[in-house]
Amino acid sequence: MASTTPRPSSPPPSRAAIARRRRFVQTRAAEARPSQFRSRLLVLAVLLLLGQIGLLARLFYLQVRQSDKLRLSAQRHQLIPLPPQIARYPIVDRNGDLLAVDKPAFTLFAHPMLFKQPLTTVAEQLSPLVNKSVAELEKELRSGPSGIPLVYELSEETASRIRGLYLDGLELVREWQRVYPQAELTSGIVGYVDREHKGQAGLEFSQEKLLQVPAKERQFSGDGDGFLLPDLAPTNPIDPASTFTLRLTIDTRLQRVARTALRQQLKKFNALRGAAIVMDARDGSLLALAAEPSFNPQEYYKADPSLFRNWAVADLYEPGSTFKPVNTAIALQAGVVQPTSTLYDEGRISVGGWPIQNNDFSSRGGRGTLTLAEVLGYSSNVAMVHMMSRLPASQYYTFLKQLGVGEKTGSDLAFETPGQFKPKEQFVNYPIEPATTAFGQGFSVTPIQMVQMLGTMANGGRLVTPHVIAGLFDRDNQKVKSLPLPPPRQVFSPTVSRQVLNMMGYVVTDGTGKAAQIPGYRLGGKTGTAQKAKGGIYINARITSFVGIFPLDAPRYVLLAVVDEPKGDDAYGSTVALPIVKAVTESLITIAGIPPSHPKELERSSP
Amino acid sequence: MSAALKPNYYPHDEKDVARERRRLVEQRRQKLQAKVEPFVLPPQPRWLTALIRLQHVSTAGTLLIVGALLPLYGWGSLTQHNWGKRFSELEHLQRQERQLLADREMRKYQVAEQAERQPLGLVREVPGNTLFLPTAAVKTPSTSADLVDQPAAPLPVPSPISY
Repeated sequence: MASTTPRPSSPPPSRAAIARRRRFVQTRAAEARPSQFRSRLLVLAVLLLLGQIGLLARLFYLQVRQSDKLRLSAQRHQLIPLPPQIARYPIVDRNGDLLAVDKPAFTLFAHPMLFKQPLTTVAEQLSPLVNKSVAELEKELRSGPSGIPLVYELSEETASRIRGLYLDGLELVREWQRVYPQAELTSGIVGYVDREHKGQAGLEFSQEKLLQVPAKERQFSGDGDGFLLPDLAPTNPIDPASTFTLRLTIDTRLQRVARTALRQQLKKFNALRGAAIVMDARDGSLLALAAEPSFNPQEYYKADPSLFRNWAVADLYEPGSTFKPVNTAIALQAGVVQPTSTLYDEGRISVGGWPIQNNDFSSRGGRGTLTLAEVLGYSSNVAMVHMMSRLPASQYYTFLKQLGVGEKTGSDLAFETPGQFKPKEQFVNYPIEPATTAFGQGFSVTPIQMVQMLGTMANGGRLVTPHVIAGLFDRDNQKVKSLPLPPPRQVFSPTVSRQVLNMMGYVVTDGTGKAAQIPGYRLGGKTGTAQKAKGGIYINARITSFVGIFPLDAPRYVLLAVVDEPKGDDAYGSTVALPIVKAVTESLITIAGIPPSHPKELERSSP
Repeated sequence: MSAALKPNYYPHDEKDVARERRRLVEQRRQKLQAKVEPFVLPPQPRWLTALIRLQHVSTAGTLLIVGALLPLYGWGSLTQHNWGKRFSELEHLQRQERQLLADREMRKYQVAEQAERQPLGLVREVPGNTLFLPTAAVKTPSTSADLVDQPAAPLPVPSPISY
């Protein structure tokens, strides 16, 4: 400043310099004039406007163009996804007892390359939680840089404790474990799921779609500490769809009795396999369906794969004499015999060049004239052939087809096999065909189909579909979904079915089923001992069976026991299968609370 | 130096400029002092008065609302936090419930298996060891006394718990 400012002693400025200075002062004064302000304001306004336009454009860009991306990005920070509680619906029996339930399980993976602590420290911290020694863990951890599966099927509690260690390089992968508390007891019905949680047998396989819980990940808003906030929570934090249960018609208590009785007899007669079925004939619901041998669904990988198919549903057998009541009903329905009719039993006859004889022909010979009840009571093959020969073969064939012989029942059980039945031409043209069919041989059915056909005697002649699924139920016990089943078909008149049932009652009071009598009660029954066929030739092996219908006065339950290849000379339907049906009937009485129809007998029999 | 500026004179010295400025200020002050008169507020229009009053009222109202909202906000935050805690508890309890149910069923199975292998005095329920009681006739209450004497209604059939 000092250098530029002229000192007083310096010579006075020139005129030109004064003029310049004056112009400068004038210019500064002019700046204060309104016209100059206006232009400045204009510039400012334009700038502000441009700024506003810029802001609006940015706003549009963020709110419209980028909104989806930004919303997702924000949600990633604000939302906490909660994994579903179950992947498959639990399966319960008719009383609500658990048969199968999901349990979250975790697999622990280690990625040593990401460890921020020494490998030994990690192993030491993990060791007490995963029940493995430090040395063992160290060895596993040194086996690779990444993706080492350390432990499978860790519980939720252990998983959360491992998470609490805050160790880098550890990964917990959520999986599902299916728990089957009843183990072998219901495995033939329920089946199992594999490691991928996919059904491979039983209902787990056949009802895979129904059992799947709709995958709905619950999103909750959360605060910085990971606490959930109710902002996005639904009014009911429990998703109703995740609380459904698949209820079966099976009664586990009865199932246990059936299985125990079956196993006892299988052991006693050194038999190959066996099945015991209890059906409510009113609607076809199955209360018990035990098939032995069975497998433990929790350790399915140890089991023989052939056991995954419940043979009561998937395998065929020749029913033998237990089919005689069905034939009798056909003959009565067709009007070729009357309840009062009699038939002559020679003991042995020849049909189309083939000999047919009664089981006890060698000891008893021919039984002579028999009533229909006696035909069933003594299980006369010859009289049955006479009875069915009164019916034209083509009509007989049509009746059998109406009953569903050779078809599937349409049950909801897995792996159902259709029965085997001769073509119509063969059945009509060869007299031996209807003759063998008359006493339950020459065709095959599944045990479950046998129960279905015999059920017609207990429900006034209706063919109902055997099934185990009652439906999908919600928490309030309300049915949410039921499976469509073929509608019942009336195949016999109620009168005919009652007449045959009375004859079955005679079998138990005076015939081959005497051992099934239960003091205080009345039941109908029929024994069956069929020769087994292998490759089209009958072999020296039997299938024994017994069917019971209970109670006789108000028929409701059909019970069938089938035992395959029992050994021993005394292995008959009455000795092998009948005790199973009797034991199950006794338990059914107490479980269903059926009062005795003849209470006096109970008083006499009690000590 | 005279007070008035000479036409051809231009202060080229700092002191001159300062002197000149002081002179101008003094001149303005004298001029202003000469013109001092009481300032009379012009009468405000009614709408302006109303607006000012509205402003006062709304300011007070806003303060009041803010004051009231603060605890409300705090309460809201606390509730949300508590909800989160309770929800975590619910999840935990549900997990335990599932675990307990599965364990209970497994235990039942084990007990039943055990009873089969070693009955230890347990017997299977059969009609012979069951007591059948005839169904009691339904009694229709006719008086209030009957109602009082009525036993408690039977518990509903336990429904299966969902998992």
